[in-house]
Amino acid sequence: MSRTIKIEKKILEKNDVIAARLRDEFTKRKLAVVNIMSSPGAGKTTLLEETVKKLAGKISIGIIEGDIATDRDARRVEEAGADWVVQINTGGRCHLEAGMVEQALQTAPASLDILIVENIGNLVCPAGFDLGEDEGVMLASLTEGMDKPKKYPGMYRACGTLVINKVDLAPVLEMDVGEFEREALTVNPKLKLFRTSAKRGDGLDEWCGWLGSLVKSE
Amino acid sequence: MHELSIAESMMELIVESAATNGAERVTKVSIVIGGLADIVADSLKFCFDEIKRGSIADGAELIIEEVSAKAFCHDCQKEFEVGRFDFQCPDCGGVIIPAGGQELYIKEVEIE
Repeated sequence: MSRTIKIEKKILEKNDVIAARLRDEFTKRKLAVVNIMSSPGAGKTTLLEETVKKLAGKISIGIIEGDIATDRDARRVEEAGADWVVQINTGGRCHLEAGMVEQALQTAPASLDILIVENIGNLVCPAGFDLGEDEGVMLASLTEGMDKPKKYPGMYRACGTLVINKVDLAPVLEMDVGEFEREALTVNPKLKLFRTSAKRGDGLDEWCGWLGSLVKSE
Repeated sequence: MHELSIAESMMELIVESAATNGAERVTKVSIVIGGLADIVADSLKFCFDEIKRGSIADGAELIIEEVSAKAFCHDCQKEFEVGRFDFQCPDCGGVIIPAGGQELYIKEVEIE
């Protein structure tokens, strides 16, 4: 005899429950948390290296590096001066999940002001997994081409902030950064916008200033 | 390929429900996916077929109901249905703001 059982449960409920628990923990620690997402090679780690150098001594920064394999990125941001760094290797998984962040957080010092989570380079999957962050940041690079907002609308809609990196290449690529921004705003008109060249230094003051404004502790 | 993670999470909920209800096997699983949830139904079916093998849901049929997402226009405020790759108000060409469309849940399972 077969019978039908109503379940009506969110499939990612477990991730959402952990993300809610993380949010409480972040509030308790007065820790501001941003989740940086991008395609591979957009410049997340280079931007973080420069961010850490600029904010060293002013704000205590912790970084969780998400990668499929290797600890290269963790070593890079540690050398740049991050106060606390953990590398998560997902071994093939295309995104970070809240449980991985919760486990990593166990060794974090109480003195951190900001936790930056560098997600796996991927423009689809990370958007579906809440990590309890205050803000999702999408890092796009000019070299990806300005068709990306409309090809990956889920990611552009999931984030509140867009950083367009590698703007120093605009003349070489014959691209207009403003046009990229307009394309992105067509997908999500609520995006806060930054333009950076992590390599040359453009826009880092504005970006770091905004990060500093997120700090919750006195 | 986050569909694999989703199929794994589905299986946890299915096993849990089967145990609670004393099922010997699960014959059908019905889920709902929102139009803006960025989940490919075919890919999820493929992953679920792999995950279910040898489990209590071995042989279970997966029914995926895709529900459309609503949006309203940033400019004229009109409400309408949208797909993942719609970006403009059909009336005035304004920017659209999606409302919902992120549904992803198991509706029911059929057990024996």
